[in-house]
Amino acid sequence: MQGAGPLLSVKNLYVKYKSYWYTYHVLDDVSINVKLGEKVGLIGESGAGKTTLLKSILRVLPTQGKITGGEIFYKDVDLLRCSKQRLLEIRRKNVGMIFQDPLAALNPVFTVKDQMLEVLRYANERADMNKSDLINMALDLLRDTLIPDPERVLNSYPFQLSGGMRQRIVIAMALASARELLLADEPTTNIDVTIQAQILKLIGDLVEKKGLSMILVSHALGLVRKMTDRVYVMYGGNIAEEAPTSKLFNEPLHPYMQLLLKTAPKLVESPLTEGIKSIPIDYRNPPTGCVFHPRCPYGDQEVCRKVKPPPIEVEKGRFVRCHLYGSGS
Amino acid sequence: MSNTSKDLIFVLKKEKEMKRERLKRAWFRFKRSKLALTGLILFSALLVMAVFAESVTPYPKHAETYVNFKMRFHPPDLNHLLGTDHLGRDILTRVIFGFRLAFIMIGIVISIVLPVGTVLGLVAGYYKGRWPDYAVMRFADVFVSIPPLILALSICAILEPNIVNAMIAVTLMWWPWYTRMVYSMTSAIRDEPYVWAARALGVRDVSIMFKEILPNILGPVLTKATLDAAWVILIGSAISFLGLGAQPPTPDLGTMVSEYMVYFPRYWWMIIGPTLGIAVLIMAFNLLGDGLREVFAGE
Amino acid sequence: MKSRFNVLKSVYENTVFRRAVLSLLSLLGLSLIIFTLARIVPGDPARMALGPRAPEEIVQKYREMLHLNEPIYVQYYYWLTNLFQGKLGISLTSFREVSVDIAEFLPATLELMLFVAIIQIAGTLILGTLSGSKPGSILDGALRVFTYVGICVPAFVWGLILQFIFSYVVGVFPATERLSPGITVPRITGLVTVDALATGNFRAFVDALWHLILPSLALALGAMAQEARILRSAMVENINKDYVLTLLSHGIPGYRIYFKYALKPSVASTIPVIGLDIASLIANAFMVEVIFNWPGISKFGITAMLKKDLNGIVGVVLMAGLIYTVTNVIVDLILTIIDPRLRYGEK
Repeated sequence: MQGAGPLLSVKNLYVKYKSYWYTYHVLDDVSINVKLGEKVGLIGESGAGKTTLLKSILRVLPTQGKITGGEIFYKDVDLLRCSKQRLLEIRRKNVGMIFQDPLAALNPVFTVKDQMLEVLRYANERADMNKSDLINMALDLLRDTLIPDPERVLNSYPFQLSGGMRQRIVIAMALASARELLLADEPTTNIDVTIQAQILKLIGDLVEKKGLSMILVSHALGLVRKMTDRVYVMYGGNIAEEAPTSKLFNEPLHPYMQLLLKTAPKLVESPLTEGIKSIPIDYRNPPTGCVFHPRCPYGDQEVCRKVKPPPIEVEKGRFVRCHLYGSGS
Repeated sequence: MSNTSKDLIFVLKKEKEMKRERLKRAWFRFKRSKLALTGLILFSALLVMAVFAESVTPYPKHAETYVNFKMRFHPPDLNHLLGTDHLGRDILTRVIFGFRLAFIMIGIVISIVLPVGTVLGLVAGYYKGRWPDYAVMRFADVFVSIPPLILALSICAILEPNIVNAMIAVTLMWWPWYTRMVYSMTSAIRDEPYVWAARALGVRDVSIMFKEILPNILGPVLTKATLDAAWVILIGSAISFLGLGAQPPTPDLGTMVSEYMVYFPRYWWMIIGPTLGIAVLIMAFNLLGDGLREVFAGE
Repeated sequence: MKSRFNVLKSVYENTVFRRAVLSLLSLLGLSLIIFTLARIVPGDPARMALGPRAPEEIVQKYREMLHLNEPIYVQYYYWLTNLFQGKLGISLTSFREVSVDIAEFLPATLELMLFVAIIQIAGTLILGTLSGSKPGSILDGALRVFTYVGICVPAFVWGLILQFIFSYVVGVFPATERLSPGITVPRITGLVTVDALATGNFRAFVDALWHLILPSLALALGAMAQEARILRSAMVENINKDYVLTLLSHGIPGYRIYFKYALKPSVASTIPVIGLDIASLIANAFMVEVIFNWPGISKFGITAMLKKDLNGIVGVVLMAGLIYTVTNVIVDLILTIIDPRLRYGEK
């Protein structure tokens, strides 16, 4: 299948958030692609634009968010210009998304059953489905995600369940729609540390079992290394580096990635944000030139301050946006 | 000086700095908020008109007792922009004097309710769960157990319908709502670290209430008071409209509506002036209040 | 069985019950305040009741009958015991038992309140949801303007405007009263629409509806504008919450999301305001009833107030307080039904 076009390709995407007072330039010329069956990692500290990127793909940005440029293709469907019906079909039957915070991803005033059946009904538009079929499907999905006592869980309200349980439900719901591609947005935020690895392993197993492609956003570098084929490193609304997983971790090119690995040397489940001092970027007027230059150990050159580095192909399938690897140096 | 008390003083200083910073940002937002500016301009315009009513109105003598039967029921024209009434008085003049009356009324009511309600709310909120809380709040509950308008109307009726009693009625009606608001805000921040720090340093309760808590809730409190003022004007005009407040020939907007309604719909333009006047007055307070809210809620 | 017990227990624990009891106690306190005020005000109730020309002995007898010579707390005791037997005293305006008067005039007001509530809730839900789901749209802008007008224009002004346009200029709706002349409906419940339907008089039913429209709109518009705006801002917040975006990402059509999954959590924050507004209708109806000559409680209440009929005033106050309290308790209950977090108590 290598010869065919990618399953998902995002090209030169620009996204802005507009509030009453300011405009935030959140995504700035972002391109990624996912091939069929591929597992792609997306790493970077909080506020790098990872969530925005995933939400843009399914076009479920909050109302202040606007896609101002670029294109998103799912197979041969242009998601930014296709008919509404086509977009709904893809959301229902092809792509599923796990939202970041399981405590926020389930509606507090509806039961799990209400929400799961709603999703399943649209994901399986067939005339011969009746309610008990849908309930059985929901129970199956809950069993798939290793939820004990699924009948009870199904009839509960979200706030009656633990964080880990809620995340399993969110995963189960995402799997109802994800027949080809799963977008997993930091699926372990706000969950007890002891369960985080468990949840990620569960996602990995399910993706394997169902033969899905996946974009995995995570802070747990060790697990990203284990679970993915290729990784994109995001910083300040830009893709800083793109590389096959093993190469990236063995020999990081972008100074930001080097910094990341230095601060998380053991590469186990150590979360990214702990070691690195994260200075939030002011997205209202992001740094000129390379967005990373104020924090970069090599960033005091004029070219870094003035010119935004283009993606440079260092070797086949390996891109880095850094002047260190440009023709000049 | 021990380390702990140094820490405590640091907490208090930090709080003071943040206060100053917040004020600066609030002023920045106020200047940029269209809503707040419009409200302020409209409000000031009405206030200036009310203060200088004798000079800005075309026929200042028409405000109260004046009769000119030749000019009765005159439809609006250039000499009488809003027409004349059943006694030949210029309605525009009366409406502007109506603004003055409304401002006087709201001014007096505010200058009673704000200090009294603030103190009661602060004390009840600060001693939440103890006897001052129960004493004040249960008493306030009694007043909010019937619709405000009915309370105000019945007080007016029992006392004697006139404008002074209308003010008393509005004051009695409003204070529990205002006190409850101050109470809930106070009880929400009484457990903040800087309040604890002040208490641990042995600052007296009274000065904690007025120097630490009050400045922190002042913004939202004033916002709510401004919005409430619009509501108080509305209730005041309703009392007069029903004949239980100011009596003719007082140029009260509500009284004017009920006076002129008798000639409705034949001389329909007569009620335009006073009704529009009430609406504009309420709008000024609302815009100002919403503007303030936008400014303070930006945090 | 256990679950039903839990529901009962949580209803109690979630303060609805306790609040109801507390507000009834407050109402009693209010009656004390009003009663005291009414008694300390200069003027002899007995003399006022019997008129200036009544002989002194009779006034004296009447005074004894009303226990007016006893200390005020004894008077209050007698008054209270009468109250629990449904006796509010004789009205000076109608010379009948006040409760009889209230029973006569209240249904017209209740009918008006009912229709206002229906219009208000329906309007709020539709306007708030539509404009909140598309912030910045034309409808949203229109609602913003309407809200401002709604807040600034009191109900009695709405009444005058509507009456002028739709009764006098266009002439589609009747200006006053509950029924057109010549149409009568036997009194069963006192709600004309209900009575008309009960007796199968369809013409009277339509006529009654026709008469209800303008006063109901006058009362509903202002409150509706404010409520719609509160619902709108709750909606704007909720449609950006992950739990709504999650459903969106599953391809659930927009109308289902907005009118169901975003509306329900949003409505929870709007209901207390709607409830308070509907409860306040018993007061606001006073103004609108005057304009539309509606034979409701204002007719009795305002006459009583203008004539200083103390029994009548206290009766109206207590009645209004009771309706206000009951409405608020009902709102609390509805809120518990809509928001399961209140029902089960969130951890």
